[in-house]
Amino acid sequence: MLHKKGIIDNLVLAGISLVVISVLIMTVIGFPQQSEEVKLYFSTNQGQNLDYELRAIKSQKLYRNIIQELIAGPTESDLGKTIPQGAKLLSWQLQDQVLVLNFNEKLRSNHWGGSTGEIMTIYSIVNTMTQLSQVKAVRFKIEGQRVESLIGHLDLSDSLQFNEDLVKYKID
Amino acid sequence: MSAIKISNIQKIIIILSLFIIFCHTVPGLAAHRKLDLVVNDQVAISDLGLVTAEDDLLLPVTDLQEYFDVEVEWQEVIKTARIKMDDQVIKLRAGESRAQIGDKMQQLDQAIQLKNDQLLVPVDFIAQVLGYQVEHDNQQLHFYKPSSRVQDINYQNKQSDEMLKIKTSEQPEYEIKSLTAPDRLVIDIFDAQLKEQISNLAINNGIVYQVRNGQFKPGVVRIVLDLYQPLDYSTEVVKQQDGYQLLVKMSPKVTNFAYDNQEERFALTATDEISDYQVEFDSKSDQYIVEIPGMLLDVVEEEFVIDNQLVEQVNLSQIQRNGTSVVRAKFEMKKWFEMDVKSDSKNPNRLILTPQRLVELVDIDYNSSTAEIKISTKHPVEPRVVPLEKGDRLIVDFPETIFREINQQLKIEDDLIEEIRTAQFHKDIARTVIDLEELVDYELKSSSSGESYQTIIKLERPGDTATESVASSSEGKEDKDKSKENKDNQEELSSDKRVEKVDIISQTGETKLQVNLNSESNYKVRKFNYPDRLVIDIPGAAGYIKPDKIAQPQGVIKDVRVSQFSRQPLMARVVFELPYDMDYQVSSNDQTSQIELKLTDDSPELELTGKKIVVDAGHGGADPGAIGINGIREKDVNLGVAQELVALLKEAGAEVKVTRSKDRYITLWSRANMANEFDSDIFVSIHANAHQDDDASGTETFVYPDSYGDTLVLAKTVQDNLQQKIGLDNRGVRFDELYVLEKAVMPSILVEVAFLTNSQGESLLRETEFRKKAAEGIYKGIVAFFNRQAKEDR
Repeated sequence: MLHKKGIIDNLVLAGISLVVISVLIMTVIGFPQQSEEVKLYFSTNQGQNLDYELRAIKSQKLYRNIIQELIAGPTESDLGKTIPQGAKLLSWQLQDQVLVLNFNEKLRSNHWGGSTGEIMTIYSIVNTMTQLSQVKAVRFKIEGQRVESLIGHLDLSDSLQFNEDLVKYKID
Repeated sequence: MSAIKISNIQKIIIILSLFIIFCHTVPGLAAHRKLDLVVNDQVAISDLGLVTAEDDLLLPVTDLQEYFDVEVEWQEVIKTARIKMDDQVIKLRAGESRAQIGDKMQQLDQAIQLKNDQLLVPVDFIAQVLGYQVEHDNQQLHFYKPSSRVQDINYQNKQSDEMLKIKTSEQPEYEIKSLTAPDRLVIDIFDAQLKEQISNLAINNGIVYQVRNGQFKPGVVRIVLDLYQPLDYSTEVVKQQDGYQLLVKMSPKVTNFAYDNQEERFALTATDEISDYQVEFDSKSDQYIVEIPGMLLDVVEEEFVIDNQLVEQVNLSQIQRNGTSVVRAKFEMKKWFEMDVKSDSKNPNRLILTPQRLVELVDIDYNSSTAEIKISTKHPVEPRVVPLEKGDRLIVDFPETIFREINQQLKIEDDLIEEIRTAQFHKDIARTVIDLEELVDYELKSSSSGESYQTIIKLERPGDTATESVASSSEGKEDKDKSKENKDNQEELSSDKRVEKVDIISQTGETKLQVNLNSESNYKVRKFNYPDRLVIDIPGAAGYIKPDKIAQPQGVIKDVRVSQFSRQPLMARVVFELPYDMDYQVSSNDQTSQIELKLTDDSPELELTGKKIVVDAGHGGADPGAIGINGIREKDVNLGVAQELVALLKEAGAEVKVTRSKDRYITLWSRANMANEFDSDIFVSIHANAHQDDDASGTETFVYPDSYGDTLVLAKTVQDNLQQKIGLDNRGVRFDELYVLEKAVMPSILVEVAFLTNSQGESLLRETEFRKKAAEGIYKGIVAFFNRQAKEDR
């Protein structure tokens, strides 16, 4: 019995060593960097519409990376920023195709306000996230708390889905 | 029996009474008769000495001992006979018209007589106490016992199978009578006797309040049901092991009547299947009458005032017709409707009544040459048309209309229309969406032909000469090209017929509009909506006119314009902007050089009496809202505009509630909840807008996605009036999931007056004058909304 247990222990030890070594090797060589092309929705037409620009986003921690890119803002001149400075995604989770995004208080306190402003902020995030096949809807939390609204206009008590109206009527 | 001590005074009284009795009895027209007493067909006592008094027979009570098991004891001193029978003691006193049975008194038809030491007592009474029925002829007096006993009476007070059960020893012979005032049901069981005393039953079930019983007369047991209202019943006799049971079954009852707010329908519930009912419309009283025969009504309330847009109130009653009860429900109409009545598929005891105004939309047709869209319905309908700049569409909503085809698409693709789509937008709204090449003016007309009604939307082609035009549509297309060549040919135009002067004469309650021409002409007057305006087209006339010849806007007229509407064919157009949809009359001849119109202002602008409005100043307290580029806070701007608006609304007689009157924080939920609890007619939230870029500017009004009808009209009129008043960019009516708009149940809008994040907007919002102006614009929109609504209701 004792003898047998010793063998198993040795096997486990060997397995762990193998994993550690391979991880070390991978770190030196570098992980294959997976990324995907995502439409990032930004404000346009005086905040009456959303339009997108394509950007390659790293697949690992995809949702956080997308938010970071949205915070970074658009590169095209006819598009406008939608997320206030200092806003940060604290945590996220995907439950039954609903992506719950938990932001810090800055998303609210640094916001410039207005129905237009709020619609642009929320739907740039919602429309960007819901283009991903695994995300049907997005729900917002601030510092872990569920909220009535971000800054007093949009109803955030429930999850939101892709808003076609905001992208549909483009006035060129 | 112990001796009774009698005082002197009592003695005197007794002597006096005896004297009175003596005086009374002796001269009595008593006739003596000798009859044999026959009990159950056997002679019991022969030659019984009877006395007749009036129609009654009296017999000597002591003689009864000969045959019956009774003991009569005569107490000379008080002239009283004490009769002992079974467990009962009956006291009869000479001269009195009553008898004492146990400790109860019973009135007698005749006084007891004392004659020749014989106490004579009415035969009927004796028979009753002995439990016999009585009949007599010239030779014999028949006493006979009823053959049946009523053993028990009970009431089965169940929701269904409600019945009275009468247990008898023999097969009962009975009669049931319905008596009124008070309503009661009387059941007489003949040749019967109560076996023992049966107590009365308290029922109190809304139909029967008690069941009494008694030996009505010898051989007749009477059971009385005291009722709240006339009763419908059926009877059945059931043979049982130890006798019979007479069942008096109550008809099924309607036990519940309810209105389902959500489903907007009524339900009648009965204790049995409702299979027989009639629905009738009484056009004289504008009532739908639903009758259920053979049913009783057991609903406490009789009158229901209901919050339904079609039904004013409902009255329930139970009536008697041809001897049966009928439950009748009367539905008083607010507006025309048809009553859909059907049995609940899950519960046959339930009848579901749904007032419906479902008009059927049957056909959509477009005539490209006349630019008319014709929508046919089976009943008259009042559609609402809302033009949307976004997407260049006309939305035509038909309330209470069904479109059985569910969906239809007409591809048109002419110079005006891309496509016409019709669909069942909502369970009772059919919506036609006309996708236009570009938004044009339109005219809404209605007509009827035989069995169907038509709504006609006539689109206005640029250069359309309406009915005055002799040019066909194909020529019209050529004309369009020609008009380009003629574009700056002003001299040629001014040499022709022309508009010389436009006048507005405004008086109280009436406004006269006058257009002078340099020569006689025909003309056409039309009214357009969104915005509301009157248009006078003068064919063959030049629209060139010096601005000082056009009257300044005044009275109800908000603006006047004269234009060269088209050059080929030549047509001048005069436009008067109206505050809302007003009626007009043309008072000039068809051919004239002075066109005269009268506008009757039957709905004065200052009329919001009875309207309930909630004004919500956005943000407040800890929530400052947006901050302007120079630091002004949105919450202060909103409150400023809201207060100006409230003052205007109150002045016009509206009942106004504000969500906040000072700088304090309120949750979005409470804002909407206040409006709901106030039962407000409309909810108007005032905000100032912001955006990350300072390029955003203008005015916009939000409604909740998929809003329609009143909400959309309110948004549209407020947005248009506000935008015109303050003159900033028109961002239109927008559909978004704003919290307060979702939670407030009445037509609700959120107005973003201007942007605080651009310098022009902020400096304007800083000014009290501008806030006032904005409030006036919103106010005008609200007034226009209510005026339109009032007009549609008329």
